[in-house]
Amino acid sequence: MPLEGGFPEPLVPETFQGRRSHLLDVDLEAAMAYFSVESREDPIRFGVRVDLESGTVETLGQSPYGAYPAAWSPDHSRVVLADLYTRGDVVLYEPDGEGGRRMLFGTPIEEREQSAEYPLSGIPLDVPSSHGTRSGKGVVLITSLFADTGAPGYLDLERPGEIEPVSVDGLAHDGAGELERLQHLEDDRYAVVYNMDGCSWAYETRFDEASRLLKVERVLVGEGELAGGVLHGLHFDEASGRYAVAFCTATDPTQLYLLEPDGKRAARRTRERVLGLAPGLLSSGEDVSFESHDGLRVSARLYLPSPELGYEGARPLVYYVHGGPQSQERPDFAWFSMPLIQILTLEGFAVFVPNARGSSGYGLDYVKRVDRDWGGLDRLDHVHAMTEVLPKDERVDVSHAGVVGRSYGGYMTLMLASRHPELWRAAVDMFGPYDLITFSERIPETWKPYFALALGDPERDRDFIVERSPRTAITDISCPLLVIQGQNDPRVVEQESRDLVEGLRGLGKDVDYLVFEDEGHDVLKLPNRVRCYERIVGFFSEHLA
Amino acid sequence: MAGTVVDTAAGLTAKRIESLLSARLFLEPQLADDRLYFVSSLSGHLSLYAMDAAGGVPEPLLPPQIALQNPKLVDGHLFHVLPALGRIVVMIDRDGDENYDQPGAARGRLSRAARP
Repeated sequence: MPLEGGFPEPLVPETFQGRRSHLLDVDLEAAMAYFSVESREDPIRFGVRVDLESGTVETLGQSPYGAYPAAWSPDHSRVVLADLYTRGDVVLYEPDGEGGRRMLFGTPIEEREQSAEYPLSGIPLDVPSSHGTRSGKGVVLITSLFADTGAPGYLDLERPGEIEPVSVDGLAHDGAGELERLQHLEDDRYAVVYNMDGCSWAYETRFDEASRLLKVERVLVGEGELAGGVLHGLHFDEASGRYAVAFCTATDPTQLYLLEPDGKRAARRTRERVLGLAPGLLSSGEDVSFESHDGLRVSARLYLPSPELGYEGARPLVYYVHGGPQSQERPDFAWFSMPLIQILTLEGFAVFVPNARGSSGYGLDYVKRVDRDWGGLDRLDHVHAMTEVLPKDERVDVSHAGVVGRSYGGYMTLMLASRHPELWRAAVDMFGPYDLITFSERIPETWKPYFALALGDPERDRDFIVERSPRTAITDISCPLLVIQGQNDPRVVEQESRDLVEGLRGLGKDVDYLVFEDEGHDVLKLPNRVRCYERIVGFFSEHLA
Repeated sequence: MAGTVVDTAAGLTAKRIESLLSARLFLEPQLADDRLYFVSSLSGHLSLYAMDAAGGVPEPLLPPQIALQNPKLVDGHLFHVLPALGRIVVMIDRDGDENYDQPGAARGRLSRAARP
């Protein structure tokens, strides 16, 4: 569509029609766009390049595991594609122009031997973080080969199979966290973004390709007004040398900022705020990380009602489980969970928010612990928190506790409510898988290769998957349950939640079912969000008081 | 204030929810030709807006019935501004169904616009 806005027209519809596409990156100078495109009918993905000026479309590769365009040389003559098997298990290759490929790093899954171990590259693909260098000779990327929490690396395109470490000089932060993103700015300049226990730090760096060094030239995010929160966009405008930034904290909504080329201070462009609620009434939460059942440290935050609200005595507890499972609950006002957490604290609840094993943000070893162990040791992290950690906090009343989660968090809610019914007085499942066999059959075709590896193959691993399904013990659920679902959800389809609701109602169990006709795997539209929060808060108020 | 949850009036709860949701989202800004493009929920769902970089009233760029993809659920970008072509590539959603089959920009060929 034109810069001034209007009705968007389909872009090369013969390429995208009937497929599901993602805009991975655009080279502004060359007007070249890279897409990942998924088939709707078959488990196959395509890496696609579109010359936006000429309209020329090129399929770069295809694979059940991605063929994600990961990096390209400045003249676009060479493109690096990536296949992802499970989190961190990523291989890189280059199309050879004849329908084959030249491996650049890693062993393709079809060439692996059963008994052998293969090092995980840990290359992230969810945000573009691999970039062809200015010389056209190599790729600078993020890898877990040198640090479990991620570090920059360098792949010389003429020396496949070897990734060299790249050092970073001049970081200002400390603590535990992950290298999250490497973003190309211009020429040899890159933004390096860290996630330190949920909070964003971003640096402007210059890459010395010969010495394999990223030298920090400026802290962009992590200090001053842009501290203690989450980045929701960092864009560098080459023409003006300025940055545009979106940022929020647990208690401050997203704001837009401009960073001048030599400016010391972020210039705020929005004044978004919560209307009618003094900032002192919101809860910023506190770190309550704990040692779990096997000694593993689990990061967690506890949000308590502000003292200004005047609540007295131990507070009834809402236990919030994030989705993913390989994601992270962060001090992030932007999305669904934080407004819910804040309204619950305003209503007098304590809200406990753990990042159990399998969460992202704490290194590859930590995040991999949920692969092929859905509802296993991570479930016991939650049980440990409820039985050994929270009972020792006299500000919290664990005898009046409810659990809520979305997606995988909804799955975990069902697992906890059915396998540990003594812990809960109420549970809210938002579009969580109920039966992992039917869930595996109902997900989009392009997801099936990944889930067969990360969760389990619904045929070969059937017994295991059945054992880990909430359905297997659902008759043991004893607390009232609220199920929330989007009618258009293609990930956990409405039938999955309907099976749960009809099954429980058939057993005479107490189940409320709330379906949003115009939502998918989230609740985004304002009237729906208001209704959704009202139902959740009302449900917990009714059953936990 | 009240000492227990049950003392809280339902009306106050509703007001608090609407107060919290009164804060709109401002996400994924891009700066081009002294204009700030961004994703926002100003109209109640995620859409694309622009304003002068110095500040000003946000201008909607998409018709009200069109929503962008959910940034929590997709890889990559929701939009990309191409000043030299005078175009924006946007990724469109339809009530959360994730059928992103029509990235919008322009049909066929684009031509580079003269830059000021």
